[in-house]
Amino acid sequence: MTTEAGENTSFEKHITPLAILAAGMFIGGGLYFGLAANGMNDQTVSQAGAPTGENDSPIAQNVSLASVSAEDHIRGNADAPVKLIEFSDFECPFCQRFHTTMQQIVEEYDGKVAWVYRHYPLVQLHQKAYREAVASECAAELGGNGAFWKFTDRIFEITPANDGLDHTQLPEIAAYVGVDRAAFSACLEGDAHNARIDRDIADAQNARAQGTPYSVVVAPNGKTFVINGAQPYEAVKRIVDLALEES
Amino acid sequence: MGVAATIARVLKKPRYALLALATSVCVFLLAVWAQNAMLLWDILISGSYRVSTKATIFWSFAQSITTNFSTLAAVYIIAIAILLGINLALVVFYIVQRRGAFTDAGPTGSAAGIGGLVSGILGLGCAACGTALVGPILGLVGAGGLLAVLPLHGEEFGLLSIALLLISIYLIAKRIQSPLVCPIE
Repeated sequence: MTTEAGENTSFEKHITPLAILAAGMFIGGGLYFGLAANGMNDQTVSQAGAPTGENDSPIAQNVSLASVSAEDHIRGNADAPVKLIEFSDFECPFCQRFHTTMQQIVEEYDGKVAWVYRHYPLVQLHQKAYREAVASECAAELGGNGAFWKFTDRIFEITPANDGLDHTQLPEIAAYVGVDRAAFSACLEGDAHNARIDRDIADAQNARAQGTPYSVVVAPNGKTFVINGAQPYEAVKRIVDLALEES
Repeated sequence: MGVAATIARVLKKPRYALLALATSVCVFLLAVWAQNAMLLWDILISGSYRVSTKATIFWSFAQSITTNFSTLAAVYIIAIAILLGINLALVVFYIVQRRGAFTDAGPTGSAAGIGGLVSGILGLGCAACGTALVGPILGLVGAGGLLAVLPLHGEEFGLLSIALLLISIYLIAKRIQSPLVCPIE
């Protein structure tokens, strides 16, 4: 007869670790194939314009990415030692959360972090996001970099996310941030900024972004740290601190 | 004895409670760290950082359950982690309890043992599939758009995993309850 508290056989001794191993294989397999499908385990491409010898670095999350230029929307000190390039979607609820985190980062790292905003509207999920990206570019065209960021702050402040923003509000937002409403509406009906947004989308895809927010922290020596998703302030801060140590 | 009482009986044993807890914590951490697995792995194996720095970074990323998941997703990740822990503890208990059935009781006993194992392992496998595999595979086969069409944008698979785990736990608990007897032919 078999008993519960029976002898401590070899079988019994080994079954617990074997069971954990089996479960680990299932879960690990799921994660491995999930990550492989996302392309997250392929880190062999190098960053455009990055210094040579990067492969010797302890963190080698190199990504292919367009260099930061004057055409970018930059918040904070443009010459900051650390650049955080964020690919974002105005109708993504996680981008909305991450926007607040990034505002805090730029404020607290006074002059040490430049926040670079690039568009990655996920039109499959958020059909309104592309037009909102165009709207933000119209704000930038008519009111400069400051108006772009005020517009961005405002849209994230009021959108319910997931295509919840009523587009009749876009001219209201433009007026709110000090942009001429009529000129803004005319701009919004044109397609002058589509190429810019398409270029950002291509850049995001080239950088292997699989969703938003997708952030690449670039250290002073060119090393890159990829942050997926709306990580909390503490996590972003820790990675920025690592990047600042790289000089 | 009911299913709940059986689960309680197993989890009252410290060894199985510890196994369930350890599994749940591991699954939860894997789920919240998975999205940044490469970054965290590189930090883990780097010789440039103190252990305390690494621990702080891992802990900070674990807190993403509050920022990087919808309320529904956070709830089902925690539920899946807990259910997986219970499921594994029950499977191990079942194997230990019936270890003789695999070897001594002939084909009938073996079949009963394997039946319990399959229901338990299916629960584990389905949870892994639901949380990590289905979305990327749909993307690979060009059916990523399907996720956009689904009302919960793919979170249905997490809910499905919970349902399958509950069924698996129910089946394995019933197997544990069934008496070890030789059936009359």
